[in-house]
Amino acid sequence: MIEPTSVHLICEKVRIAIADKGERERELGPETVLLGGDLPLDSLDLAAIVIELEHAAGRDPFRDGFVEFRTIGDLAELFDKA
Amino acid sequence: MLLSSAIRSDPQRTVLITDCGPISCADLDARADQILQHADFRSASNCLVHSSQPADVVTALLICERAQRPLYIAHSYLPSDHLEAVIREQGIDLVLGSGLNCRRVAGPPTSHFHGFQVCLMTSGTTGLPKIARHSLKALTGRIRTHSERREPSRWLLTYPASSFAGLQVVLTAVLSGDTLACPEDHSIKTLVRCAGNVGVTHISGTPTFWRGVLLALGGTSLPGLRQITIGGEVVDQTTLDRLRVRFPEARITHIYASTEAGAVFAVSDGRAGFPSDWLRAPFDDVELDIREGLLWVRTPRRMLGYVSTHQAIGDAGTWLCTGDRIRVESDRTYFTGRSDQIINVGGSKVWPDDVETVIRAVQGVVDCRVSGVASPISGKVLVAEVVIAPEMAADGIRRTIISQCRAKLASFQVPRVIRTVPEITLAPSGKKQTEGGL
Repeated sequence: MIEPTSVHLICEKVRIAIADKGERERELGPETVLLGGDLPLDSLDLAAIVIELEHAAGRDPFRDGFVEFRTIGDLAELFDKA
Repeated sequence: MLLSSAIRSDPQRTVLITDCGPISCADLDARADQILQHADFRSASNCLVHSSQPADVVTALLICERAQRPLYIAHSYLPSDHLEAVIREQGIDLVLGSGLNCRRVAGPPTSHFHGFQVCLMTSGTTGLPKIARHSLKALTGRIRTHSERREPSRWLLTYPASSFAGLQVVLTAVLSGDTLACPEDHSIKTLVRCAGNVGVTHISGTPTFWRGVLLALGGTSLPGLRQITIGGEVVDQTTLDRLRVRFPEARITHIYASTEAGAVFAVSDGRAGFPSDWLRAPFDDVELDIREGLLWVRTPRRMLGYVSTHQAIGDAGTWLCTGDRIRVESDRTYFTGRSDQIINVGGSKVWPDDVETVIRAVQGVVDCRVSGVASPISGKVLVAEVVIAPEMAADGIRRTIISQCRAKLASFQVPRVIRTVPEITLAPSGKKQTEGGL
């Protein structure tokens, strides 16, 4: 079960990253693909979002190294389990 | 005439696949002939190519090889004031821009170097870029030629053609009888889609690029992929393991190279780092040494020297300090970071000073510090800590900082995380405490 607050927090960080790039707002949800989909984000943006999330949540789901995730829901699940 | 011979040996071969369609060897040859006849080129002596198009870079190499003149390759993202300063200082008298449009500039009558040499810029800059001068022989020292290979490969270009790593891929495609797909847009989405559409067999990219591929692929795959080459940043065991699981059929190689040292060595045993034996015995004409924790190399493929500083660095037999810290753990040696303040962001080097200068110029910014924070996705992410004047609105300044950085810096130099802090902590030495490094 994914915590709605994690999804909400990730959506907020993604929204800021998109706005910072001067791109138009996108509809975001647990199914939204973070990289390689329709969002105007690159690897560095995604890395920055993860750092901001770690900072805000006080959790590090990647302490043992890189883990694959694809959607906002996947990332929320990683943070919830950490 | 290594490059010209390779191009002329098979005129019908598609050498580049661009957004505008395929480009054959004959196309490149014809374009090179055209420029060679151009009055501006004939009367020039010192050329610089400044284009994001790999076809322009290859053609510029072909014409300078034929005319036996030096070629300067400038990054397309180089700020215009830096470009103009390089043109002035190096006595450039012809700039080949996008589409190889010739621009004559008033250079001094004599050039610094004679014969065909390739002058490459390092990725980041503090002030003017450092320019490393290479012979074609050194640049192509690790590339197998057409006759030594059996099956032609299809490569994907993930680096700028102007970078050392990008040029290695471009030269490999030209000399090995291969085809190189080079989409203009370097986003992961476009690169992955292009790899699938073209059916690429070989991809060279940074660990950041490869982790991006793993994240972007989802349920799809790249069935034709035979060779995964990784370089530009330290590669960790987890990334190697993930790639092995995802691409069980592909050979995975990580390369140690730099603009100055050239292509030093390649590791293909699936383990991070390199065998400690290599520190003791020369291999592939390369000698490695560890001095005060840093890796030193002696290699015939190193640069001839820097052109920008006219710094004498000795002959090809001289040892070169890489600035990379290493740690020996019995049979394996690992890279652990940099000795200097350089931050490696997705394979590109960033000097924090360059970024801090831009941020400090923003009205309302009192002080700032730029550092690299380790990321599981990209090696390092640039984080800017900013102290702002009390009367200023943090959000407005944040936006201005981002827009100023975007306007004045290359994409990899733009901090992705900006934090407002009450003060910048100083180290006991009075210097800013920085994380830096890899």
